[in-house]
Amino acid sequence: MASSPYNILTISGSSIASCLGFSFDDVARRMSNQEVGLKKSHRFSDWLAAPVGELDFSYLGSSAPSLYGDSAIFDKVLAFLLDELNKQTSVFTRYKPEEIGLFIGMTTGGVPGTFEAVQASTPHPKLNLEMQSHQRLEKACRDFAIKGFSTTISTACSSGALAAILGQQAIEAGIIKTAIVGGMDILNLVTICGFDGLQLIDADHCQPMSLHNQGLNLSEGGALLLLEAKQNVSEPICTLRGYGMCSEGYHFTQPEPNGLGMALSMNMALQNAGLTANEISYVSAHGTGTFANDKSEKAAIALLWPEENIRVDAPKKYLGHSLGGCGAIELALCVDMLMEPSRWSSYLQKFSHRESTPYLLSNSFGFGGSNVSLIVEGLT
Amino acid sequence: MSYVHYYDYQRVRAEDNFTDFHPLARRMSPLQKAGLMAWHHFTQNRKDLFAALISDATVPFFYATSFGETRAIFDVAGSVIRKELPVSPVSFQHSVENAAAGYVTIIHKLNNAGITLPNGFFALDKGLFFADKLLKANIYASLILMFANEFPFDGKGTAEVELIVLGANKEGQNHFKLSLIETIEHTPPPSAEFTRDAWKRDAQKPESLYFPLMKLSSKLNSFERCVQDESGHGYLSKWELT
Repeated sequence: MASSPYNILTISGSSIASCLGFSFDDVARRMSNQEVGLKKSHRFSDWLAAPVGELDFSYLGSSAPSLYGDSAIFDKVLAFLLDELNKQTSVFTRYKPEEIGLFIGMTTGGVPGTFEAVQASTPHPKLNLEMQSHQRLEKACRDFAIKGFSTTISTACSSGALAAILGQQAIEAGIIKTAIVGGMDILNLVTICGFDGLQLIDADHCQPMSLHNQGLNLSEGGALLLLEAKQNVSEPICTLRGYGMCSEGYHFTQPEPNGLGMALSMNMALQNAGLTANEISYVSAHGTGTFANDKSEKAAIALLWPEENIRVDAPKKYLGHSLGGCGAIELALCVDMLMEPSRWSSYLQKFSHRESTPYLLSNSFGFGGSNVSLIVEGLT
Repeated sequence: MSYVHYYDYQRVRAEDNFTDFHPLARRMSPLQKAGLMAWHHFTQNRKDLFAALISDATVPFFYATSFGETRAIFDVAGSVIRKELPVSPVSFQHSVENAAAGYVTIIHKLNNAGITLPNGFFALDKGLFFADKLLKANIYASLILMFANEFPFDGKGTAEVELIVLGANKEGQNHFKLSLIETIEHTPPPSAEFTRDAWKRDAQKPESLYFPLMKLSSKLNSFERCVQDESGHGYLSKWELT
């Protein structure tokens, strides 16, 4: 693999849509206050008694989507994220359409079309175009005049994080000049009933990476980040310093119990970044709250930091598990901690035993053993 | 330009029993079985190339698909609509778009990332385009692209898969090269066009989903493949015998 291009690229902006709000200021304030965005009263209450992290769709001028999903509302949330990113970065005026690429991780973009297909013709449904999650990306590209190489990524819960790697590689390969990367998902009954069937949901608020973990809480939303050359930004302050991506090659839903696959992903990221584990000051754990994930991730972290001298937290405790969105949201939170440290100071106070370095690591692990670890670096 | 170091095409039916290859095959979807077969052939026919490709775990493989796991997602959505709960955990696991890639890594104990790119009718062409550019930039020396689709029309289903290994350099067993792949933004009459109407016209199976490279190469020394959407955006690729 080519060396990490951390010396030439910067993360110059980000946007977020989450159950704790639609701005990093809101999310930082509420996480610092230990607020949880997961509620027991939600639009799926007749189907699932456990807490769910819903977006406040009224903020976007919409009613809540159908329980079967709603492509138009998916498009609206994605458009909001793109608009917000553009307000920060003016990406759509600074670059030509063919210089901009869009890399979106998602797992639920085709679900509304699937329900339509099943309802339209049973017992043997016929395929329809809206079953393709790619249609969501194509619409965003049309609406925002994005004409550079763009792709949908679907590696389950690591999709949004993997999008950042592919966007970075696309710039490195010279296909595009700037990459809008991230992920998002909107909840629907396939996801709700599917995870319920797997018996992975905590009936109460999830407690990831704790001694009380009983399962995960589902949520929705996403985040986008802008990658571009440092030379195109007046004051580059953050970069994707390194990445690791690997397969566990172990089991479809269960991580390797000793954390070897997760440790491999983190080691790859460290190697790619040219860093040692001791140079990382904070790990944003994938931390779903399921017993199997948390046990493996704790084991993996113990392999890399045997002296337990690393700050670890699991944002899903506050934000729930937003599937294709969580990798992007958690990466964007790390970036925001580096870009706007003042608004995260009280949140990070609980880790005060560890001296800060400018390197933060974010983990995302998905079904099928699809692991991604990303390291971001603050440049100021 | 990229060289085709390996190519295989397989078609499987839902009822095909591949438990000889792996016990997990019994419960697999047609799409997952197709992937299993293609990778089995690859490991048997080109052991050297397979070993070389997986020796560096930092090199991913791409899995391109237009619709993903159609039968499994229909099963899950149908269960929800009929309120037949709880949803089958196996059906739900198999409905995840990267399931076929996940099984490949589990069965062959691969640490290489399997990157699922579900790009609709552009799935193959976007996968080829991205792979070709990553090879040209020396980010990777070679890449595996699995292109697979499942067609559930008869209630049971079939699946087709193509496994293509592209390399930046010529090797001894090359038969083809991808001499060009580029995006297009105009509207000449393409050699193979898909539109929303074309999709409906041909038994829900547009031409862009067909890519039997071997069959074409037996008749032609070179050929072009062009896929476009209604706006004129698309991909043009040129393939030649070496």
